[in-house]
Amino acid sequence: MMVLRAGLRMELALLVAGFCAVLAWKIVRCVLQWARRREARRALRGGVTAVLRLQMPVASLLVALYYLTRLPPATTSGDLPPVPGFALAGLAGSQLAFLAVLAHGLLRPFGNIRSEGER
Amino acid sequence: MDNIWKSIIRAVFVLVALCPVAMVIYFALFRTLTKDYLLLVLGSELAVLLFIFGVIVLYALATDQIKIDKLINEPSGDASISRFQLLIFTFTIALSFVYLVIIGPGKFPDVPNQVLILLGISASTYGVGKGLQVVNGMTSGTAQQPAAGATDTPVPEAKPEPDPATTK
Repeated sequence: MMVLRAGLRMELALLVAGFCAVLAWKIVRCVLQWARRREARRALRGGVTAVLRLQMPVASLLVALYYLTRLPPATTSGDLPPVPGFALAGLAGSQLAFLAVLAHGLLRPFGNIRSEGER
Repeated sequence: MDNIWKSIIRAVFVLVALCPVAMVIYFALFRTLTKDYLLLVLGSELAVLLFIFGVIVLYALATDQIKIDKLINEPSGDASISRFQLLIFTFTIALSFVYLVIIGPGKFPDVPNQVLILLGISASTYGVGKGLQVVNGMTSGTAQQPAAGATDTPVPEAKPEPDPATTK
């Protein structure tokens, strides 16, 4: 039974590693495709809205990396480590800013009012 | 090339299916067939089958038979930042869970409330962003052709049109 348990753990680790490798390869390919697009390069030179949009993936990556650094000490207890309050608050603020910019870009409330008045 | 792979996969399935029969016969004839031996055979069989299924799915993913290229794209092909962040957090928590199961003491890990809140924030952002896009498509009537800014892709500011009076 011990051999079977060790084999199962190794099998799980192999499958998860393979899945992560394939997924990372696909994501890198997607990101490279975005970067090749002219609009993306122009947007990176954009103003405040571009910065407010792009801060969200950066903040998400930072919080995810911070969480992963807290994982090795948690192996003794065997429970998932909690996310600190400042990370949650920062992430919520970042996503709110992103949603605000997205809503502004989509709905354009002032632009809609003006166009209705012109009709 | 596909036929070779299919033949190999079929052969492996046949071997895996015949293995427990052979082992049960071996234990029945030459050893005492106990419950422990049967559990060992059953566990090994399930482990091998799950591994083969996993490898087949991985092979299909790697060779684009299962397409996940649009995983973090909008249907129009633009980048979707909200999908990207949802993917980051989902995989971070899922992989942490698997890591603790493999490395940890072997019990089912407890999930703290903060982790659930984190996943909730992430999924809510994706949902609200998608809802905004749908509302925009309904109000502007351009569901088929989304307007500039209708995706969460960074969109540059529109350049002003040159005035024909001044260009003459």
